[in-house]
Amino acid sequence: MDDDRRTRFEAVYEQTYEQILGYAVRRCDSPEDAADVVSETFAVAWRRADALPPGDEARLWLYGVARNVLANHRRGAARWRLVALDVDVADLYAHSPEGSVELSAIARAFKELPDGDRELLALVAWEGLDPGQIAKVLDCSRNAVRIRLYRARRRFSKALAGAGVSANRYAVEAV
Amino acid sequence: MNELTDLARVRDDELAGRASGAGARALLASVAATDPAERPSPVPLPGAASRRRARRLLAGALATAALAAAMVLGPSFLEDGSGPATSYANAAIEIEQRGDWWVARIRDPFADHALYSEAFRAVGLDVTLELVPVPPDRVGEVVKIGGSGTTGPSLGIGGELEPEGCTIGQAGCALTVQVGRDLTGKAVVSLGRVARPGESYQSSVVATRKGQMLAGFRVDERPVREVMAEVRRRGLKAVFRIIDPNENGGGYGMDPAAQSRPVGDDWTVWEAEADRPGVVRLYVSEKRVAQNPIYGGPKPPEDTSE
Repeated sequence: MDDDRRTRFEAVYEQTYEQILGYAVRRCDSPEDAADVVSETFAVAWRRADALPPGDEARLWLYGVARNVLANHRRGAARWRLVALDVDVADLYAHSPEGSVELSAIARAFKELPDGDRELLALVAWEGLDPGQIAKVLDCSRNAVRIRLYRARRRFSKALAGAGVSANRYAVEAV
Repeated sequence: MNELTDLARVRDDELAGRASGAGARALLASVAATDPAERPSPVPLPGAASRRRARRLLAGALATAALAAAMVLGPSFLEDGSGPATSYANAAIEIEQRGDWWVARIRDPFADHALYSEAFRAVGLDVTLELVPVPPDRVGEVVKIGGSGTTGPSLGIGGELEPEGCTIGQAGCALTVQVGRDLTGKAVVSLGRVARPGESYQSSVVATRKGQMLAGFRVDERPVREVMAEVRRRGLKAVFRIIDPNENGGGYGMDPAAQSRPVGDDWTVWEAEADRPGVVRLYVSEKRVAQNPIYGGPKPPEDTSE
């Protein structure tokens, strides 16, 4: 029973570690924060290994957990830390992704969006998810995702236009 | 094409191989070591990760990353002689072939990292080498490693002092990095170097081990008063890491926002790490629990030098 749990957890861990690390690194401003999110997400997964869905759904489930962990951190909750991991991911923070002037304008507009909009657009652009997959991450209906995505894109386009960036190149893209 | 993707700090495919890296293995081990029913939190094990950073494991990391990757022969295998150099040197580093390995000898551990990359590139390797400050006995060890892209079933990457066991500063003693000649992807390596005065170490090492600042002294489960007396007696300084042990003693939390609270003399010390030369980092808590929360039990005897 315990061995079974461990085997299953290890398999999911190996398959999803890089994706969860990517998710955290793309959303956290420091390697320490990203390391904390990854550690806590998998700690939750270990505790709730019986709830871990099979196959690719495990990844979606873990994105959902990571999203909650991140939200808790932003609310100032205490954290768990594995020192080794933040040293391990520190190199990913060596460069800022907002190199060009145009990109930094996009970054600003993106950062100013409501959290929910930003997360939806990021799940599409960064994790490459479709509305059905996003519905599983957010635990809502696919239709709700489509509507919220549509609104998020519209707000983002507006923000980009306000920043003088041609909007339809970036945001008005069908999924 | 959605340019939002360009805002991503990293793409998942750039993280290939990290799942088998030292950090990922340490996390897996510490998470899976907890009892899922009773211990609601991971048990961080300072030092456990560093002990796992053996060269053997690093080789494994690259090999695993290669399972799904195509074998690509690197340009150094070109036979017409137009390929990259077989040796290269600049002011910071010199690289030469020795059998199945590229051996890079660091001439200047404080050099601009670009000079190291330039040399690796010249021999056809995509290796980003960074030298980071570590405690004296870890100088020459690989502190962290990452990789991406195609890697063959690689021999791996390791760090060493040459001649073996020498002390940096002695004539002829140098840091070296060995890179398997079958490496075809990109590798990012951090190698331990000596710290400059006042510079914090970028690896955690238990301070009570032999050769460390508090060697021969037992800190775990003792009051701050007693440990600080010894710290001062040795002419050292201390910084505190305030932790909140779980009720059952298996694991702990740490609130980064509460680290500046005053620490009482009667608080309990659970572990000491090297922070920087002359400074130890004490893991302390106000509450005393039955089990050392750092280890979920007694501190392992191999980390003391008694």
